[in-house]
Formats: sequence, C-alpha cells, structure tokens
Amino acid sequence: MNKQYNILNDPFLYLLIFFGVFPFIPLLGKYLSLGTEMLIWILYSLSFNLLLGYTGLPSFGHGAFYGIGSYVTALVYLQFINNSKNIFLPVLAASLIVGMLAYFFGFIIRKKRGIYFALITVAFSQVLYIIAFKWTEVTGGELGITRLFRGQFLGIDLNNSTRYYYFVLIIVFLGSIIIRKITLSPFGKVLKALKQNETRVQYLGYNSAKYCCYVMTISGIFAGLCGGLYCLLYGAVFADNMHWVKSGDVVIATLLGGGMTNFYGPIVGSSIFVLAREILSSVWDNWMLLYGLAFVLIILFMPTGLLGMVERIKEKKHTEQFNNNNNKKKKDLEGIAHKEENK
Amino acid sequence: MNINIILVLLFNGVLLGLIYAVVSIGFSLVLGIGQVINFAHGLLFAFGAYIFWYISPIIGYWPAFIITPLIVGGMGYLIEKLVITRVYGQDPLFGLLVTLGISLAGTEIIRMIWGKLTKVVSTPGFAAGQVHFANIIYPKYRIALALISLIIILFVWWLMIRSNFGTIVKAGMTDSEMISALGHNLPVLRNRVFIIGSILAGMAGIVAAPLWGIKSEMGTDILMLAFTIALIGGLGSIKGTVIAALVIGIITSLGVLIIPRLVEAVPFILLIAVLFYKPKGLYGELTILGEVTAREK
Amino acid sequence: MDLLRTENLTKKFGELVAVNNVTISIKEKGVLSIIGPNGAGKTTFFNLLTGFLTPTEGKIYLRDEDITDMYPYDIVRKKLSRSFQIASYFPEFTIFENIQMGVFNRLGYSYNFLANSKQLKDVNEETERYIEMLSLSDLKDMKAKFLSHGDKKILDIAMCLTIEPEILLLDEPTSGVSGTERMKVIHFIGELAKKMKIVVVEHDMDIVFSISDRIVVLAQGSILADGTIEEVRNNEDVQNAYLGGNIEGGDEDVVLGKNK
Repeated sequence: MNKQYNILNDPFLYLLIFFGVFPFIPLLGKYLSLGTEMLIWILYSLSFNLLLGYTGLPSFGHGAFYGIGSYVTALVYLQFINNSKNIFLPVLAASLIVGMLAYFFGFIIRKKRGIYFALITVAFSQVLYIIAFKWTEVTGGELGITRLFRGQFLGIDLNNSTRYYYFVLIIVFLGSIIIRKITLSPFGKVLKALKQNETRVQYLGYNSAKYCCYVMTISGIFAGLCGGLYCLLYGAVFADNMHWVKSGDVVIATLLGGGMTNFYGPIVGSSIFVLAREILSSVWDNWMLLYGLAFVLIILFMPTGLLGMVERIKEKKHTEQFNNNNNKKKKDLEGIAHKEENK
Repeated sequence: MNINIILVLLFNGVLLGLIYAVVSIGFSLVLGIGQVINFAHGLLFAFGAYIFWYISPIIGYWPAFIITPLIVGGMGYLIEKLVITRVYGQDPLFGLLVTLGISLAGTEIIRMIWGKLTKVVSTPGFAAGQVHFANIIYPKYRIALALISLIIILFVWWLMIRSNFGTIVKAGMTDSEMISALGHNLPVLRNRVFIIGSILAGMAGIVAAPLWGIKSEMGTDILMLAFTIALIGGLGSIKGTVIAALVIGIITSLGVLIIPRLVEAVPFILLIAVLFYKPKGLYGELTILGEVTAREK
Repeated sequence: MDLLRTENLTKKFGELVAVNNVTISIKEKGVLSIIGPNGAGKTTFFNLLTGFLTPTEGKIYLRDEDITDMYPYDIVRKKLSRSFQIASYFPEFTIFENIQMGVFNRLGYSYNFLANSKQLKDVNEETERYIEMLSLSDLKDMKAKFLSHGDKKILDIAMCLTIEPEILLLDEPTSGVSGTERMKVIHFIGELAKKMKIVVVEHDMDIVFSISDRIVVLAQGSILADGTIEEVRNNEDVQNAYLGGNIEGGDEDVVLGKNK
C-alpha cells in the first residue's frame, strides 16, 4: 500500500535534469528566454490547476493575478531600486500583494460554482484589466512599463540570461515541489473530493467554502510570483495579459496536457503551449487561427488532455485485470461447487 | 451642464441600447433554447459588419443589408451543425470554451481576409444630413439606425410572442423534453433558433459598423456585453433583455460625463452585481446555468 | 432530553409548502421510520435537519442545542450523519480513499497541506478498521464508480459512519437495490441500530414493519400519524392516504397524498 519513496521514480528528477541541461542543448539551448518562460508557465499552470483540475473551479481571470504580479514587481522595483537593485523584495511583494487580493477575491466568491464562478472571474479580471489599461499615471496605460533592467539577488547579477534562467529554475522547482506536496496532502484530497461531490464533502464535516477561498489564495500567490518573474524576464509589463481572453491561454495549456486528471498535465501542456506559440508565431502571422482550432478540438475530443488519455488506457487495463481476476475467482468457486455436487 | 449635450448623449445611449438589444436577444434565445453559451455570437456580429462593408459598395446598400444577414445566418447554421450539436446537454462551460475557440479562430480569419486596420463605413445617401429639433442637431443616420434596430426588435418580439414558432420555442426553453415528446423536432428547433440568433447578430453588426468603426476585435468586445445584458434581463425574456440593453446603453453613454475612463467597466461591474444578487436577472425564470452555488445557504 | 427535536418546522419553496409545521421529538432509543407518499417532504425534512436547507420557520434542536442556522459541516461534527437517496460518494476515489475522507476530518487533518495523505499511520489504521468492518477488503482499491448499486449505497452509509455518529439518518437505503444486495443492506442497518439511533425514510413496508420501533407518517409536508406499528396501521387517516384502505406489506407506489 505505501511505497517507499524512490527518487528514480520521481518525474521531478528527470524534469530537473532536463531543464538543468537545457541551456546546453545544441540549437534549442540558445533560446534561453523561451526556456525561462516555459519554466514560469509551468509553475503558473501548476498553481492554476489547483483551482481547475483539482477543485473544479474554472477561473477565467487568472491573467489578472499574473498581470498584477507583474505590475507590482515593476512598480516596487522602480520605487526601491536604490543602489542595491535587489529583486527579492519586488518579487516577494508581488506574491504577497496578489495573494492578499486572491484571498479577498476568493472569500467573496467562495460559494459560487461552475459557470457563475467562471463569469465572475471574467468580470472581475476585466475590470482590473480596464483599470490597468486606463490608469496611465501608474501603469503606463497602453504603453505599459518598460526598460526594466534586472538587478541582483544575493549579490549575483541576474542581468545575464543564463543566470536568470537558473534562478527561475530554482524558484520554479521549489514552488512545484510545494504545490505537489499540497496535492498529496489531506488538504489536497479534500479539494479532489470537492470536485467530485461537494455535498458529501460538507456532510463529512468540511467547510467547503473555506477550502475554495484557501485554494484561490494559494493559486494567487503563485500566479503573482510568476507574474513577477515574467516581468523581470522581459523587463516590461503590459496590460494585455490581463484581458480575459488571454486568461484562456493558461486554461488551454492546462487542459491540453491533462491537468484535469493528472498533476503533471500542466507541465506537459505548458511546455508544448509555450513552444508551439513561439514557433508558430514566428512562422505565421495568423497563427491564432490554429490556436482557436486547437481550442475547439481539445475541448470536443480531448478534454482530459494528453496525460488524461494515458490515464484512461491505464484504467481500462486495470479494470480488465480486475475483472479477469474476479472471473477467475468465480470459475474457481463454480468448480468447487461442481465438485461438491458430484460427490 | 448643457442640457443639449445631455440630450444628445441620451439619444446616443438609446441608440446604443437598441443595437445592444439586437445582439443580446439573439444570444439570449440561443442560450435559452439550447442551454449553450455561444461565444461565437460576437464573431457573427463582426462578420456582419465586415461582410456588409465589403459587399455594399458592390451591390448597393439595401441589397447588402438583406444578403449579409443571410450569409451570416448560413455561417451560424454551419457552426451549429458542426460544433454546437456536440455540446448540447453538457456542462455549459464546454459550450463556452468551444465557441470561444471558434471566435478566436474566426477573428483570425477576418484578419487574414481584411487585415488588422480599422475600417470606416461611410454614410449612405438616403440618411445623410442632420435633423434639427429642440436646439439639437442630430445626425439623420443615427436616427435611421435606431429605427432599423427598433424594427428588428419588434419583429423578433412578434415572432416570439405571437407566432406558433415562438410559442414552441418558449415552451422548449422551460421543458425541452416535453417539446420532443409532443412531436416537435428539438434539434431542428435549436438549429433554427441558432440561425435566427446569428442573423440578429449579423444585422446588429451592420447597424453598429458605421457607429463604431469596424475592427477585428469587435466580436470579442461585444461578447461579454451581450452576455451581461442577457443575464441582467433574464434568460429567455425579450422584454427584460431590451430593458437591460437600454439601461446599459444609456448609462454607458451618459457615464462619459462622470467617469470617462471607467465607462467600459460599467457592464462588468453590473455583471458582478447581477451574478451576486440576482442570478436570474430581472425577468428571467430560468436558472439554466445550473446551480449557482453549492447549496442554498 | 430528546436527542433531536423540531418545533414548527416549515419549509416553503415559493408557493409550495414542502414541510408544514412539523413538530417532532426523537428519542435516544429505537429505530424511527418515516414513511409517506412521494413528494411528502421526507427528503426535504432530512435536508432541513442536517442544515442543507434553511427553514422558512421553526427551530431544530440537537440535544437541546439550537442548530437551526447551522451548516451541514458543523452539524455533522455533532454526531448527526445522513445518507442519501441517490448514493453520495466520490466516484473517482477508491473505496479506501472514500472512507479515508471522513477519517481525515475526525482525526484532525482537515487543513493539513504538508503531510502525505497516504502515509498517515493513524488514518490508515482507522480506515482499514472500517473497511474490515464492512467486509469491503476485496474491493478497497477499486474506484467507487465501478461498484454495484447496492455496494454504492453501503459505501454511502459507511462514509456516514466514519464520523462516529450517534444518530444516523438514512434516506431510502434500499431504493434501487434488490435481491441479495437488499438483504445485505437490511442486515447492515439492523447491526447499526444496535449502536446508534437510526431514522429511516423507507417505502418498502416489509422492511418498515420488521425494523421499526416507531413510525411517523408524512403526507404533503405534515405529520399524518405517529406511533407504534400497530397504531399507525390502524390509523384511519393513514389508511385513506394509501390506496385501498389497509396498509399491506410490499412496495406501495402510492398516489400523492389522497386525504379525506
């Protein structure tokens, strides 16, 4: 029942190795900002999946958390830039402020479900988007905030792309471990139960609304963190990431990989998404057409995503085995019964 | 504050509201009969504007006015048959996502065909000039558009309230099983309503084009607005939708005086308020969108 | 002190009065059955008792504590548990995981987000204990959605037990269950009745007459009769409410509240 933890069986080991040597991969390794963005998206979608895949809350406004994280980082950075240029405070501020916002929001919306939940997230995030877009004095409006140069952390200058890549890798790795721990914990189990049958969960003594509020908060903290890392990656913040349609990006990336049924789904999905987006957009101006079609096809034919299909095949095999065992047992029993009769 | 300015803004608001109403009614009907949130509705609105802009110089204003909605209706037919039929009966979220995908793809197709720049529609001859009354100068064209919208709305209202078809649709909204049991072909019914909705969206696009300019995002821009209005007015209620549309149109128009920068946010703030306090909207009877909350308390 | 008590409990859905001024005292001992035609308000009554719905009027007392405005998750912690007409469980979880959910809460792990849920010794032992008790050891690693209908209902009831209730409300535990599975469920309930207060909503009169110490008849939201099996059987109002006069055994799919 309880397997000993074997690090060789842990996908994280292999992911860490892969991303660890990524910069050294011929050809691909040169695209460090792409790799960094992939990592940021992995953490972003993993935390988003806590809401969608685990608790079943379809948030269409997560881009707002991400975007606000970016803005907070940029603004704090510009304020406190001093001579130290330490990026720790701005990024931390992003996580905390967005986390508080997420808690506040999560509290208000804690009893809403399904389509109503989705719509409220759209509405709220759109209001924030409009504020970000129009509040030119603070956010730079349409022009955004640009030309931020990466400072340092613990004395290490992060202006270098490679160094920043590894910095992000460490943060993403730690964050992912935390999120995985959460999903494996009793708290995580309650979330999974909530998605299947909220009534039952309440009847077992759990205040389901509280859980929804908490998971929104956790998800928000990481989204803010990722927004901050993203801001420092490209040194610029724009409002368009906060538009509700853009929030669909993380939904599709999560679903594509199989977030609905598998913890590692978002990792697969995000990697593919960021890569595909990069490749397609450089090749074809109108690549959004494929994006839209992919959207449609995934929802219609593959809502459980890539890893979801793998799960289904495993499940089929498992139940086949189970049935075979049962049939065998039945036959054995029948055989014995026969013998008894014939005595 | 100059009373004339307020009056002009008021008229603008009414016109805005009427256009919104045309779009939203179509959306609301589809949502009512098919329990599907059709995010491609905005796309059809955009196509209405673009196609009209494209063919009216070729075949003339009024012929284009008639043909464009038919083309858009045809598009709606295809979308319904190929995609929507697969999501009936499932979680409305599926329909939303699928149609969103269609909307994104379709918007890109528009960009491919007509480019990314905003187009301008010039005023047709018959409606040129201004009207003078009560110290106000108001463009004839806007009045014409308002009248056209009004006629469309009245026609749909007649269709839904007075005709046989409308009665069946109304009944189908509250009890689709019964309708099938009584021998009506539900899939055909849904398809027809969808086409009507698409035509309405297309027509709204034609009317809106000269007012707002034609740009590829106009589809997604109007989407949440239509949804908000449909929700506030109550799903399935034409009266409610029209009232909600007019209210929002007028608030948006007059809002420019008070909070110019946040005017765009008004529909969303209203949407939040409705979702929290009155999910069934003003006149709606149907909680089509499933359970609002996990429990009553 | 009564175990569970209501005073003028009423629930209206707009014009429809689902539960009408029900005042009832439920004592510690014995099995109480609630019977009545479909739509009589039995499930609504359970929903009210367990905090799932807010009463329009009236009060509910659990061991003299006012629980009228409480939510299910609080009431459940006060040892009042409830099973559902349509078995309520977690289809994607294995049976083990299903049972585990209630144990987590009772052992205080509700908000623990760092421990590994599979490696909590006390939780695992408790869960194993319940699984043994319910003879589900064979199936414990099977996803609940693959269970037979009767086993799903037992799972539902089993989950109710994980909170160690003192009073258990069972909503049509045998509905949709037939044959040997039915016997299983009935036997199970019999065993439970020895350890806790049972309140059952049932349609099958055979079962009602064989296990009940007290019967309450509900029709159109009001109490029609309340007493022992004999008393209820001989009650004229009750006889008239059911087709044909005498209440015989067997599944009566009765006409909606045919009162005088």
